[in-house]
Amino acid sequence: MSQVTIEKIAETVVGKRLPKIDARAKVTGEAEYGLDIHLPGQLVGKILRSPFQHAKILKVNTAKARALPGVRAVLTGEDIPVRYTFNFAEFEDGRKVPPEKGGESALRGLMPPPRADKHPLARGKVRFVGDEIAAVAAVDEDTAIRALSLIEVEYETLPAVTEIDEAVKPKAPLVHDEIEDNLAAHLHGTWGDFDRALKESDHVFEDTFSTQHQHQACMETHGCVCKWDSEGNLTVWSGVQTPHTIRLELAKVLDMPESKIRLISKWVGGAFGSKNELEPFMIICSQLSKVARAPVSLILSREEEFMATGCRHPYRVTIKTGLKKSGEIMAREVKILVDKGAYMCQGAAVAFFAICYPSASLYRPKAVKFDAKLVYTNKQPPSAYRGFGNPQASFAIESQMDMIAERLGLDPVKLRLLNANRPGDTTAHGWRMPQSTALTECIEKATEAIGWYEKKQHPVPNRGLGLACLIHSTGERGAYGNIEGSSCTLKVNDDGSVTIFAGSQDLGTGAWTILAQICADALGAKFEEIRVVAGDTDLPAFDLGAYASRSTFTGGNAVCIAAEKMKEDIFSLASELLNLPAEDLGISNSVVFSKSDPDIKVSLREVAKYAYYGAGKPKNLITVGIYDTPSTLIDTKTGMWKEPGPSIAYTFACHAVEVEVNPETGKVKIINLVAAHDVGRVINPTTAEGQIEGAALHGLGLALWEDVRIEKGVTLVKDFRDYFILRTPDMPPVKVIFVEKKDPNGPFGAKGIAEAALVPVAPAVANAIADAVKARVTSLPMTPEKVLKAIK
Amino acid sequence: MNTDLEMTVNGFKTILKAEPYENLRDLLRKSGYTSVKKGCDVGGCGACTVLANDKPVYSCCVLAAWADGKTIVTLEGLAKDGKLDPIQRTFMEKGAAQCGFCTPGFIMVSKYVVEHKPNATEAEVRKALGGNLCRCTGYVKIVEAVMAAKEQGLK
Repeated sequence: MSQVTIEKIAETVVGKRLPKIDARAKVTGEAEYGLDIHLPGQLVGKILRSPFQHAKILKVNTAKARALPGVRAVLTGEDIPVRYTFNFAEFEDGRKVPPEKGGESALRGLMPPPRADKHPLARGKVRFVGDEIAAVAAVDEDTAIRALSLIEVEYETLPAVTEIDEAVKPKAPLVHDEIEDNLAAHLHGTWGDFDRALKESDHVFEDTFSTQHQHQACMETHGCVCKWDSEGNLTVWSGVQTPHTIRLELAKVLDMPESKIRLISKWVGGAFGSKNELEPFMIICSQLSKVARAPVSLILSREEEFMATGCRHPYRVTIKTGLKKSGEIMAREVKILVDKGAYMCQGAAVAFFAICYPSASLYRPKAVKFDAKLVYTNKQPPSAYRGFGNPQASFAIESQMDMIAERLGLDPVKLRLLNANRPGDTTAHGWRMPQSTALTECIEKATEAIGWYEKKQHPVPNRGLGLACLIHSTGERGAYGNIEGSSCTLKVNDDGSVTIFAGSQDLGTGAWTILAQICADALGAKFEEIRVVAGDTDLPAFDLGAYASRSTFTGGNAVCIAAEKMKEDIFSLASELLNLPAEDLGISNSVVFSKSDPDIKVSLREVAKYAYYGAGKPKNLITVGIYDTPSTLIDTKTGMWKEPGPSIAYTFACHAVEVEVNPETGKVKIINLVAAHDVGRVINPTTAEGQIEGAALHGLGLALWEDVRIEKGVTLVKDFRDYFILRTPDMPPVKVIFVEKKDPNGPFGAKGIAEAALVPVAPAVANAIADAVKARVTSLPMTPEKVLKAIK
Repeated sequence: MNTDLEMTVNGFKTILKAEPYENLRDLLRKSGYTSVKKGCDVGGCGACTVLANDKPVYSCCVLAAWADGKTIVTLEGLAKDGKLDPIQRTFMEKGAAQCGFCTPGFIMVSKYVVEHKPNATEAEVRKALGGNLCRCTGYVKIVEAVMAAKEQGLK
């Protein structure tokens, strides 16, 4: 069974503003994050990082560090000889795979195959300031820091290439010696008859935009605690998004069975994409622990976090759009140049997403052409960040929409309404838009709420309005293997309470609360008596992880399936207790009742007691829910998808922003932000609003301030004094509007939300600035300097 | 080189041993008060905020020795007899904690605001919370929680 019908189930808990089930642990300080784990005999791990952008490692002398009392393990690149990368850690030899061997078209038709380009600890050379070289484990932090200072590394510095324009030049220094052109990956192709669509266009416009390094800046830095037992089992405590797939990658790197690694990830102190892949610190920590034969805690400092964990890829995006006189979009070409930094991480997947989502699917271009080049530089390697390439491409597309509207004398709202995606549409690459598609309604609601037309009639000097739209995924088939699924085990305990052993991960979004709410209504159980046990690879449940806004949809559907099966078991036992046919039974609020005579009833607790102790036959109340969306992979022969494409519940939104620009200083003040989202059925309005309000903070930061500022390969940001994140007094009001059009495939009609809300903010702000002071800024962040320059 | 420091932590008189250069955050954390979070080391995030003699301080920015003789309250000390403090309840009810990592610091400074500035406007509350960073919520629900706790306190 891959689908459940929930149409007829009454919603008593779904849709309610219930406190999160883990809120008490968070407001009492009981929640134990990675840095709070303290095991007997635990050591402190520290990493030595490269001070150079690019250098040969001639010699690493660890003798003095090893001799320091209190030091229990010292590791260098020689101790961990594997080479790995994101995505199943394929241990290739690191060389570029030629196209005839499927190099540029092997995976999913468009993606280059994963190339292992990273050693957990550098071997041969270092490629960015912050590259891991050596590591120590010692009895305390002071000793570990002292030991790092005693490691002697002899370098031969090499010419560094820190800007993409230099890196693509012939004879540029090579970041990876075997990659002759610093071209980490090249994704290119067309969907539909592009030349014809362009020929049939009355107008063609081409514009270029650029974006910056933005950092997730999770409040909890990356880190983990590792411990081995005498049978060779490894336990890792670490707040991550994807426990199963990180375990899979770690198992490959350590060459051991997955089941001998247990990854416990109950509390995650923020993630935003930054904690969904295996990173060097976890491999290093596991080996320190193995060598030291003691538990080791390795927690990155804030400075390490900024210099060495994956931020958002800076993009240079050129968009060419062909339109009819009416404003109907015919063709869109997107060219992207990505500053990949020193290592691939998830760079290709992020670019793939930027192309497939906004570039090919926002509005209705009949044909799409794309070309993305990922260029290695001697800089910190960016990776996944909430939005996954969508914010960069949408900034370009949605800024250009307003520029086109202005050039053609069209109303930007009407131009968008004319081109808005509609239910049942098929895109140029074969994706089917779901029946819950409500972009038109989102545009109408957002403009209405911000007072678009009244304010346009009575303009205030230096104030402006802007809007921007969005398409995003709910889950994404093809991220790992050929599934887009989740599973859970449901248990009605012998006291009648319910435990969900969930594969789904909760990053603070409230995903586990959502599962409990869905379970309460799908099963007919009391919400207060449902517990979620999750965040542990040893549980009888599997999930790809919390990314691509997928947990409510896939995890929720898995719970619905398990609950349906559970009801069958409950009714079969209750029919024995009540002497009634199972078909006559219903369940609500943990009480089984007769539909023909509701006075005849038995509590779930009594049914459970009967099941476990009295039925006289082996009968437990344990069911499994396994769900996979009916989404599709790309057809590698045609480069197209069979419908419906990688997601089955694409989501849409429109944000409208009002700004005030100081024409003397270039400073932008956000007066108001309205976010209208078609999220399907809202399971919990409080947590759903929380996602949009929080994403607004990231989106505004991307638009106006946040920038890791890397100069000549050196990361200038060291802590929150250098990296500006909006604080409470400066946060503008955010008005959230839900356009609740139930999705036919979602649990109770729900779709995803978490990633999407960040995406339209920056272009909406750019458009509002242009409206306010008739000046177009095409580069993020839109600092006062850039705004002033655009005005003059 | 350890020094004995005598302080009252969460209502209990206690002697904690600290290195002379150790900051209060690290002392509290190693003494088991792990609600005191480490988000940075320079007073940039506020995750380590505790109350010292009833005033909020970044515990990473003061030496442990500074707390000698003082009364310290961490998040672990707010609930009384298993009953949550009103500010903890409103943080739960309003959905003010997402990932929860900044929550201890926010609750401690909010506790101060609720108790000492009961008539504060929303703008004043926002200003008072300006020393703490949250990357999840956009502060909307946090401000709602503080306003709600303040209203309950005034009743």
